[in-house]
Parts: sequence; structure tokens; C-alpha cells
Amino acid sequence: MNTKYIAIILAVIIIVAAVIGAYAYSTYSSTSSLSPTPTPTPSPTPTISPSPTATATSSPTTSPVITASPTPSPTASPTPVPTYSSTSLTIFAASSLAKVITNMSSAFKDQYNCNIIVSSGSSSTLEQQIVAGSPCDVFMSADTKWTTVLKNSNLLLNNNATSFTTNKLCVILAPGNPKGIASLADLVNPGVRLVVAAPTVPVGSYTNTTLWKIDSTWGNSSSPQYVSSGAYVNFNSTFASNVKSYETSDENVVGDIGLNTGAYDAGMVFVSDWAYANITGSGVQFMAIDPSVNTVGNYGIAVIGGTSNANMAQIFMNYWSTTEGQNLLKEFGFGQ
Amino acid sequence: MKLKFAKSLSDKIIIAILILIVFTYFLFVILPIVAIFLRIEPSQVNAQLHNAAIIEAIKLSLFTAGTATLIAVVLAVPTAYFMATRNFHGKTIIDTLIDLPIVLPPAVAGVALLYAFAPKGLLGPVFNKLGYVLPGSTIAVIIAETFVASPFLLRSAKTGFENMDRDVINSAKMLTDSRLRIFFTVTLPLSIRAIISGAMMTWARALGEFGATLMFAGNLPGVTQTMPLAIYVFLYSDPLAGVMLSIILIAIAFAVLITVKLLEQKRFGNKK
Amino acid sequence: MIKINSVTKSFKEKRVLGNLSLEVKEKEILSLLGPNGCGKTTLLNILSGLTRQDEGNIYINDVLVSGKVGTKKVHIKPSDRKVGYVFQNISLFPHMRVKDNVAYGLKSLHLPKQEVKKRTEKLLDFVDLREYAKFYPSQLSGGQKQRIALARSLATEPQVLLLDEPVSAVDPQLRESFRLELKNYLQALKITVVYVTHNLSEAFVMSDRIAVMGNGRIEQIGDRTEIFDKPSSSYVAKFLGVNAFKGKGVGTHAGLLEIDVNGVRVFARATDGLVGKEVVATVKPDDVVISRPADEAFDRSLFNAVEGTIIEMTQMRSTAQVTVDVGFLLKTRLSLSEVKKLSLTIGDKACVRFSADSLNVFADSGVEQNFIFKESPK
Repeated sequence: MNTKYIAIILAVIIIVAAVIGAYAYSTYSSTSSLSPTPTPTPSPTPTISPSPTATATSSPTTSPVITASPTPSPTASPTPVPTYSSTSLTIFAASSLAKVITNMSSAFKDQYNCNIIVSSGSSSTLEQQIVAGSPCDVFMSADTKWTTVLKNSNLLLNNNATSFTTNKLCVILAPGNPKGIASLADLVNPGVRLVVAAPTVPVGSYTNTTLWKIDSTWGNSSSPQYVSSGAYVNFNSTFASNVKSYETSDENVVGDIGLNTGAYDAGMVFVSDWAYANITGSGVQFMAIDPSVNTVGNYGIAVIGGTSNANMAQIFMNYWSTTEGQNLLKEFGFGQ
Repeated sequence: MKLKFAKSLSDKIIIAILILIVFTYFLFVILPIVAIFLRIEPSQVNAQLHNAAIIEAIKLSLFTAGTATLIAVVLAVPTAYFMATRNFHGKTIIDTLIDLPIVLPPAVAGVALLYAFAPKGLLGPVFNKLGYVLPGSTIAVIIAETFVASPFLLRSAKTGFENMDRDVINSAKMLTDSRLRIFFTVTLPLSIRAIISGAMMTWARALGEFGATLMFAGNLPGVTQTMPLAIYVFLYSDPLAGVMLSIILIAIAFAVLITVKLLEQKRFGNKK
Repeated sequence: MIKINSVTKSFKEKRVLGNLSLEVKEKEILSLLGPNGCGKTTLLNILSGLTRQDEGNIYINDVLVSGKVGTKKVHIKPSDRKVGYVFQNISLFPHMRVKDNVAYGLKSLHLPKQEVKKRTEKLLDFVDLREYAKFYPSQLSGGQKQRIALARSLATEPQVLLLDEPVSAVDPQLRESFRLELKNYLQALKITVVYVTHNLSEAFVMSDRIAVMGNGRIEQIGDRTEIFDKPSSSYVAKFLGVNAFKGKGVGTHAGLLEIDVNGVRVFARATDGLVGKEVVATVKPDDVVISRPADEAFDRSLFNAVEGTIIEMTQMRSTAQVTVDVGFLLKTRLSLSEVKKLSLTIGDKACVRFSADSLNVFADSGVEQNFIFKESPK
């Protein structure tokens, strides 16, 4: 092939590369024009219609109260409703928040003409994506640690991050509770198969904290919760030896238990996870963790500095501190 | 590059376009891998290679992928031979069924394996009697990998057997009445290249297997945490480490595959 | 030595062999001649045991090797029949050396290594290829490969040797010499040989008896003169390139049978039992003499002499075949120089004559015979 054709090919390559480069540049440097990348919201979640009070199970401890309430809607304002232009918000939220956000998003859209797009996942991953420049308006994290990291990196609007709710841990049991688990001590019985989240994700690190607390407080023979079997002694390691898998998200933990294949008997997740599993009728059972050893996760929320819709983002962020927002969160198992 | 056979102008243009397409495709495949390798920090890689959990994961991956490939050879080669040489009612259906694992999303394959082999699965009671629970064990990893990867070997071996010259086998039939001897001295050597390339693909697929393993075997360091699972976990907490691990995995796979390819070429040459 | 009784074989509704019977004499070299696709290879495969016939019995050396006796079915495995088979595409084991190819049949006899070596060398010597023992098949020429295939098939000391178009794998210009080489080997073997070919001259070179195959069965079996001079069907005649035409016996005349062929009268030395019957008459092109009209005077009472138009002229190596339409088509063969001498061209009028003795006549069975085999009756 003579040089003429080599030249033609190179020219075409350069032109194509230039076009791609120009497109890439404009996408990443602009803050407005291009529509936000549609996010894969996990499997179409049904709008959470309130269910009758979640039933307590065979376990002696009671389940958290999830009160039936009408489908949450924004407070009917007495003043004439202002009209808004059509906008959208991209929310990066911890996976445990995905369903509650979806629940309020259609009403939010009705009121504010604002489309809410949720990108959910592990809080640490989301934080990395924000740092890498993924376009995002509001960040909702399962651990204030991550919103603080962003704050210290000056990536937040007005350097403002708040804690808007909490989430406690609980134990979930396989449908039918085949191993007859009635207390935390039963979790370390031989033959019990456990699944928890890896320590690298918030719920996993909270799990570890709880285990440590049990170990150090109840494992002590002078503690009132100490059991004669000594089950709480070295709880950390006996628990670990029963763990058969470390998942990377609380949803997967719930999923593993809910599949009910006998592979796992119990797991540790957020109360909000159980609440949702309960509403969707997966048959997963609940066992509370004594508040003295339970770990409470602090959820953080912040508007990202690079947002192109600061107005709506702020309204969205404020919603969660309102009574209405707090009630909705309670319904979904948060703030118990 | 001399293209003496391209006579007319239109021929040359077509070839130029063809080269462009080939180049683009090549770029498309190579670019992401190169992008990962550009992040390499030798000191980090070295640190990871000394990380006990990572060494565990590497050993586990190599062990399970190798075992899965061996099992696939033992099971899939005779099956391929059977399917290539016999006709029976419903052959097409069985043929398609055996190919299905490839089509299943790995996570679905994992769930299917659970429904079959977990304590509450179809064969659950059998394992319960034996006092053995599969999920959470290394064997479960091997099962998952074999399930998703063996169809590759099956297909390749089947094609190899089908493409054999029938008369060569017939000549052997005239000279010996031991079908086993014919299989090992004539059929197998003539189809060994197809089997080897199928085994390579199986090994590679097994090594990279993630979804089914996570679902069926779980993620337990030292027991079921293979390299892909370890990388997945790391990506959430320490992406840099995750990238280093990916580089290690790619390097291992590349080294093994190219060694097999070179050995095969040396042994069999480029003849058909 | 080989008795094939009424063998039938169909492949997926297509009947390839129908009621085929054949006897091969001991130690004879029999050629199985027929066009491509007529079932010769299938017959070989049935003889060897690689394929099972649908109906019929095969006997080798008076032993039933395949078929049914009463209700009992018999099928002896190919390797147990003492039959050697040289395939059309040679089919040597490409991944083994020549010596291992040849020794393959010996291994199952569990002989000591020295014995195996000795016999292998003997076999290689027989085909004059001892020095190629360590070579791989890919390094040999077509002819050499076939000789190795022959040696390989002889390892089991067969009583019957089957060869399927062995010459086709050899370069065209080398075919003739290879044929003769092969013939020498076959004659030296002194065993029963069935040699399949579609090539006329090859069949005549390799063997004395020829079985012409067509329509799923043996049409005619005999030596050269028999089948050329007296083809028993128009199929055989056409296959051999012998003139064949249909007519009706209308009477006798001076001891000769008078036949009406499309209005033309010809005379043949044949039985008078054919008067009033539909007949087929054949005459070899060599026996048909062509000349210019009214060139010579001849006694019309002895010859069949008819006039016609030259419609085709084909040149073969040193001869030419001229086809004349005299009311029916007659092919005649003559040398190129004769063609020149007579200055024959297409469209010319010509006179052809052939003696009454050169005609071979038989009753027309009425069955339309083609080269294509028919579908089995439903």
C-alpha cells in the first residue's frame, strides 16, 4: 500500500480522535447543558404503600414500630403554589436510602416540577465518584464520615453538611427461623451460618463495632448480660467463624437471607433494610439488638458545590429535616 | 506493507477501510486494559503481592480455576464426543440446553446453583445427610466455575470431533477393534488443538468468574474469596489497591494464556 | 470368495443399492466400474463392515459376515473380517510417522516389539518405501501416500483387499505410471481384490473382470470383450461409450434379424425370437466405418449402410469421434489423419456402415435406465 493511503488513514484517525476529544472535553467541563447520566435505580421498586404494622415474630424482642400512614405528600401549602420550570436533580444516595427517596420523588416532582434521579450504592464508592467528577447535586451518605471527607475537600456548596437521620443495626433471620435463634448468643452456636456486609462498607463497619461492643461489655463475667454459657466471650471471633460470606452491600445481605435456600441462617443489617424487606413480604424475620451494644449510623446529607440546580438541591436537602421528611424516614425504619 | 493483490483503486480503498476497522476494534479492546496498566505503581503492586489476603486470593483463584478446568475436561470431552458422533431424538434440544449456562447472567447462574445444591435446594437433603453444606465452601467455588465455564470446552471439543476426517477413523476401525484405542490414538490426538483452545477459554472464564461464585459460594477470605471477589471488595474501600489487584490478575491470565499458546504452536506448528 | 446376496441400502429415503448381488472369485482382481454417485463406495463400506446394509447377506470365504440367518442377525466387526481397505482420500494418520501408520494394525496382535519391527519393514519393503519409515505423511507425495496406505492395510494379512479410486489422489500426469505400479503390487499379493473406479481404461488395465454398476445394482459383469461386444443393457452401452439405439424387430432376412429403427432398416445376427419385440441394439464406435457418400461401391447385402449428416466431431488425443445422424445417432471413431483425408466437417453428408455381426441385440426390458438412481418406492 502506498503512502497516499497511509496518509488518508492517519488523517481519518486524527479527525475521529479530535471529534471524540472535543466531545469529551465539552462533557466534562460544562456544568449545564448535557443531561445527567441516567442511573440504574435498583430493580423497579414499587411505591411504598404503607402496610399494616409489621408483625412481631417468634422472637421475644419486639420489632420497631412502623406505623401505617397515608402516602406521604408534600405539605399542602396555604399560599398560592409557585410555578417552577422543569428541572432535575441527581442524587447520590446510600443504597439503604434508595427506596425512601423513590417513595417521595413523584410527589416532589408534582410540587416542584423537578425530576429526581437516584444513583445509589455504597457510600464510599459514591464519594469516590463525586471526587472523580461524576455530576451530582445532592449526596446522602450512610455515614457522616463521607460527607465530612467531601467537606474537607471543599467540594460542598457553602461547606454545609448535616446529619439528617440515623439507622440502627438489627439481626435478620431466614424465613421460618430454622435454627431457632432467639438471642444474640444463639448466633454463635455451631452450625449457624451467618452473612454480613464487608467491613469496607458502612453497615459492615457498624457491624464490627457492634460485635466489639458485645465482646467487651457482655463478654465480661461481671456484666449483667453475661450468660453462663460464656457465649459472649470472644464474641468477635466466634461470630466471625460462623460467617460464611461477606457481602458488599446490605441489600445483598438481605437478598441472601431472603432467597431462603438454606445457605444462610442470619445476618446483620440496618433496620431500614429489614423494614423494606418486611414491606415487600420476603418473610425475613427480625431480631432487635440491645441498644447498649447497638451501633447507630449517622446519615449525612450535603449539596455538592458543582451543582447546577442549587435552588432545588437545597429544597430537597431541607425536606428531610421537616416533620414530614422525618416521619417518612421513620416509616422506612430510620431514626428508630 | 505491500498489497500486491489489490489491483484496482476500489480494492485499495476497501482494504484501507478494512485496516481502519481492524485498527479501531483492536484499539477498542486494548484501550481499557492499557488504561488500567497506566495506573500501575510498582511499589503498590509489590505491597499487594505481599498482602496475605491477596496471596490467599491468588492461590485460591489458581486452584479453583485449574480444578474447574480439569473437571470440565473429564466431563465435557466425552460428552462432546458423544454428541459429535451420535444422533438421537431430541439431540438439538439437549445441545441447546448444554449451552445455556453461557447465556445465563452469572448471578442468575449462582441463584440456580443455590436452588439446586443449597440446604433447601433440590439436592439439599442429600448433602444434609452427609453433613455437608456447599455454600461457603471452596468446592462451591469450583462448582460455580465449572458450571459457567465448561460449555466453552464442550463447544470447542465438539467442533473438533465433528471436523475430523471420517475416513481416518474408518481406516483405524479396519485395523483394530478396540474403540478405546482408536479414541486415544487417533481421535484425541487429531482433535487435541480444539480441546486445548477450549480448555484455555474455560480456564480464563473460570478465573474471571464473579457473579455465580459470589451468589453460590459467598465471599469468605481464604475459602471462597477468589481474585475477582477480592478486587470487588477492594474497589469499594481502597480503589488503588483494587486497581493493583486487577493488574495482577490480568498479568497472571496473560502469562498463562500466552504460555499455552506458544507451547501449542511449538508442538503443533501452524499446520491445520 | 465374496458372495453378496440381494443387498439393499438406503440413506434417508434415497435408495442407493437395490437388490444388488455379486460374486467375486477367489484371488481375482475385480473392478467395480460406475459413474460417481452410483453407490460403489457404499458397497465397499458394506463389504468392509463400516456400513450396515438394510437387507441382504454378505459372505466372505463362505462365512456369513453380515446379514440374517433365520431370525439371528450377524454383523462381524470390520477389524475381524480380514479385509483391507485403501480409502479414496488416502486417510493416513497424519500425526503418526509412516512406520507407525503401517504398524497400527499389528499392535492389536500383541506381538513382541522385534516382531512388529520386522513385519513393518517387510511391508514397507513390499511397497518399496523402506527408507521413508520415519517420515510423516505430509512429507510424502500422493503416490507414496497411497503405497503406504496399501502397506498399512496389509498389516492384518487380509484375505480381501478393497480399494476406492486409489489413483484419484495422485497427480494426473503420474496416474498412468502409478496405475501400473499398483497393478504389480496387487498381482503380487495374490488375494481377492475389489477395485472401485469410474474410469473405463483404468478398470481395463487393473483387472480382467469388470462389474459395471448402475441403478443400485450390478448391470453386467464380464471381461473386456464381453462387455464391450455384448453390453447387456443400454445403460452399460452408454457408460462404455458404445452406440445404443432402440428399435423393433420386424422380421428375418437371409438369416439376419431385421430391425426397424425410426424408419431405418438395419440387420443383425440375432435370434428370431426377437421378431415383433422391442429391442435394443448396440455397436461399438470402432466397428462403425464412415466414408463419403458414394465413395466406394460395396455389397449392400453384407453391410448395414446408411446415410446421414455429421452433427458432431470431438477430438480425443489421437483419434476423433464423429457423430452421425442417420435417423438415430451413431458414433464412429477414426484417426485424425483419416478425418483430414476425408475432409469431414460438421453438416456434411456421410455414409456409415457396420457389419451385421458387429451388432449386439437384446430385448428391451422397458425399464428406463438412467445414470441417476431412483428414489425408493413409497
